Amino acid sequence: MTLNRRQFLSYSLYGGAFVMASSHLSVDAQDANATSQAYELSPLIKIKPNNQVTFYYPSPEMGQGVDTSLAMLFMEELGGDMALLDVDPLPYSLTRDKAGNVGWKAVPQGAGGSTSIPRNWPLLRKAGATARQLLVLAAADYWSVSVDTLKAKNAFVHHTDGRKLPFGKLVELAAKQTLPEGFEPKYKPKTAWHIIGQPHQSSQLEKIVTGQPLYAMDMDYTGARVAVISRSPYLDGYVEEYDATDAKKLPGVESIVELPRPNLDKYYTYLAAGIAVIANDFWTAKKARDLLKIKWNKGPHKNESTTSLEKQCDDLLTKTGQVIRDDGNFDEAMEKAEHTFSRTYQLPYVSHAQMEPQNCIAHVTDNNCTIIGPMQSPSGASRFAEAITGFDRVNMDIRYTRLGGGFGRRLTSDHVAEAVTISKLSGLPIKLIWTREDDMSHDFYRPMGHHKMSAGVDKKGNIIAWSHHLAGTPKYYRRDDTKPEELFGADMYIDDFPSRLVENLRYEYTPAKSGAPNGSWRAPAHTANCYAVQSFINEVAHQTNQDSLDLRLKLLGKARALPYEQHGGPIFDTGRMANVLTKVGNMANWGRDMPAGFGLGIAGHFTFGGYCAQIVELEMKTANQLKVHKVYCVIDVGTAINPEGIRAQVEGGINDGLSASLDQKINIQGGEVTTQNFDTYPMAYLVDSAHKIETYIVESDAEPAGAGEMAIPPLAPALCDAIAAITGHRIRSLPIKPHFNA
Amino acid sequence: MIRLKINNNDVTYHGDESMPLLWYLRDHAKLVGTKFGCGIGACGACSVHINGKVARSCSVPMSALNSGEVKTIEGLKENDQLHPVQRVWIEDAVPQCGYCQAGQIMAVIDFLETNPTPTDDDIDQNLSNICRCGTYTRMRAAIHRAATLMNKNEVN
Repeated sequence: MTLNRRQFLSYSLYGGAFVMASSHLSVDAQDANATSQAYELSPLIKIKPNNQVTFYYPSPEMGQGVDTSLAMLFMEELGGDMALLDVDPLPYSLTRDKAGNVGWKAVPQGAGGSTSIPRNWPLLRKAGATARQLLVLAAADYWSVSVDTLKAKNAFVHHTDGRKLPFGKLVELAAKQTLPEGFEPKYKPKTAWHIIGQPHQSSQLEKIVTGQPLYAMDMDYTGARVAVISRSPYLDGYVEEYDATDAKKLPGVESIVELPRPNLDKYYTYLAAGIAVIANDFWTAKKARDLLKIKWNKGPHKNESTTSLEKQCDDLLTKTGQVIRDDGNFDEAMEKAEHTFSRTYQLPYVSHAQMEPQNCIAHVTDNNCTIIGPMQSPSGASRFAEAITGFDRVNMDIRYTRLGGGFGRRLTSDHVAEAVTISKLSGLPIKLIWTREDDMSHDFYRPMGHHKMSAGVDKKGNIIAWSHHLAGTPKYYRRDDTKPEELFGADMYIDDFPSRLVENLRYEYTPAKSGAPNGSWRAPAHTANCYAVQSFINEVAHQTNQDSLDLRLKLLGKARALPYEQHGGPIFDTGRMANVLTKVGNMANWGRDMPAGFGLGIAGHFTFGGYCAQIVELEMKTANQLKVHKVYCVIDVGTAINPEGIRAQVEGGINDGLSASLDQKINIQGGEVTTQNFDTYPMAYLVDSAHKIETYIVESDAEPAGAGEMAIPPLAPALCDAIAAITGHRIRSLPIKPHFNA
Repeated sequence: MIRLKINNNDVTYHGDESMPLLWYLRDHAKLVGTKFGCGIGACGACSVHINGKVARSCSVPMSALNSGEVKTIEGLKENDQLHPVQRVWIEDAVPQCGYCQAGQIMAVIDFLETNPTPTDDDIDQNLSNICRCGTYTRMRAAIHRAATLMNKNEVN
């Protein structure tokens, strides 16, 4: 029995990935040489008769390389040729079944938490293998031979007798094929892979280096006017009154609208209050914004400052927090210990500062809504748009572009909500542009917090007691569906190292109050916790005259799989962690004597399913001049899909980690974010970056993890360890540079 | 009225002379390869060449451009050939998100024209465009390769 298209569609919704055979365009079947026509064997791919292939990548591309790695998963099973490939973002595509349930038309679309690879690993191979089967069926039809004599490879279907036909020639016929009910594709064994595991570069590089319009900021939408918003500079402040007389007089200004006051209790609807100016171009809109006279109510956080937040965290650390993990008997073990240590590590708010400031095109008409923007979560954006417009999100035209950086900033959809709101209020198609100051002072910051670490060590140097108490601003600060006792969940992971490795161990959490929005910042809580935990391990080792790499390996013990119930699980393999640490030690010749002014520092961490260890080789020419000569990095992300992409993510992660730890800190004064642009929020420049990075990717048959976030967390503690090796001074609060400038 | 050349095309501008070149390029000339990053000349995403020298177009008003010659990333190709820096950027896969890279390339070209055989220190001390993705390590190596390539072209 075969399924018709409609049946196949409903069947596939339950099967996850869904491939349907349909001709994308009405084409002239005789004109096989036409290049303008394309056929769709799946929502994910179009093949033209000239063999050109366009793959529609289903996770937003923000520099993490999914335009290539996801294509590789599909193309491997399709039997495609990467050299013929072009890519485009898959338009956001939902369907609703007869029962009214909304589902994905192709595969889930979103990017965050290094999930694109593990989520799509089964889905895209299945989709590729299914499309391949349609091409093979077409060739079987064409030659009137059995499918068993056919094989797809390098964009051809090959017959065992040596005949072959290019996909382009078969695609029209393939689009008419139907698959048997319950069809389950066969996957290639690893030994037959010729795309997965090989290094591939993005097909978009030429477009990037020639300045093609790839980003939402570059998109032209017919009739769109530019909007900029004057947002409340005060956290949760609002407009008391305003006068737009002068602003309206400026030629080119079209309209001025007040944004409705935000609902302060709803995390997902967090928006700053403000006034939007709509004009014919950006410069006019911005000039008019400067002419607005607005009286702000300073809101409930007008006394909040960086100093008050830091004091709050210190005070909270003097009291007991919510105990979220309590193994053995920590207090008793501390009593028995030969040596006890306690240190506090501090991390500031940091901003995403992605290079493309927030922006979004929105067009709300009488019955629908178009959104074109940089989005990591088009799903969240569509829910927002549905709430604002009342239109069915399944029917909306939502397109994410290539993102000029994401790092978690576009997981929140505030920019989309603003653009949709302004379009609805004004009746105009809108291109909303944020200035850098808007972007940095209305971010969803990486939570700030103070980590109090305590450890007890026995006579033999074994760590027998360990505690970690974090007092910080919770990422889940306004999620209305989060109970107070669950606030810790995004900021401390109870199965993180060294839980289960130290017999008497306690993790505690105390939420701090802040009016600043908190959000996901590349490798979220791992950057903070890795800094505290790994720095403390280095200090304990130093204080007890042990080698810090040996101490880590002793803690990890024999290789075994420990349950890991948070994101990145289901297991934490102590053997894989020990392996990356051992290997990086060998690479860097850890323990070698260093010349004066040079030092090595080490750290390792398990982030979202990937294991990463780093050793930083640092030179300090003068008391405040750091030069990172080299970073050695070993990473184990299971089956390596695209080694070239993993390498790029490691290099980027290391330099991004350097940038964040060297000099980045968001400051708040009088309820206002005062760090608003790169003059007061210094990013790393070339001069600050690692001069050499040596990366080793562990060969593995394990399920693939992502690779976008693993290389960030170890960098800061390894760098601070190297500074201590040179100067003897342990840095316990980030960023680093102010310690030397004081 | 301002007369200037953009990528060898004559342009006459009658609008607000305080408008930065960046926004003229993006909103009016529809040359969107030049990017908006910070608006205060701190990040270099908007780097272009003005009269043969690199400049941050977010901080140059149109009024300063009378009889000037502007070259943007879109104007780099010569005889349909990519500039050696662009070629190396592709071969070495420097870009990640790519947003800052047009500006990086414009800055690097100007730098290499005055420093044809740079050391690492020359690169570090003279280039100050921001890349949040952290492609710097690859960029530094690519700059050396591009220098070699450009010097070879000179000899030929």
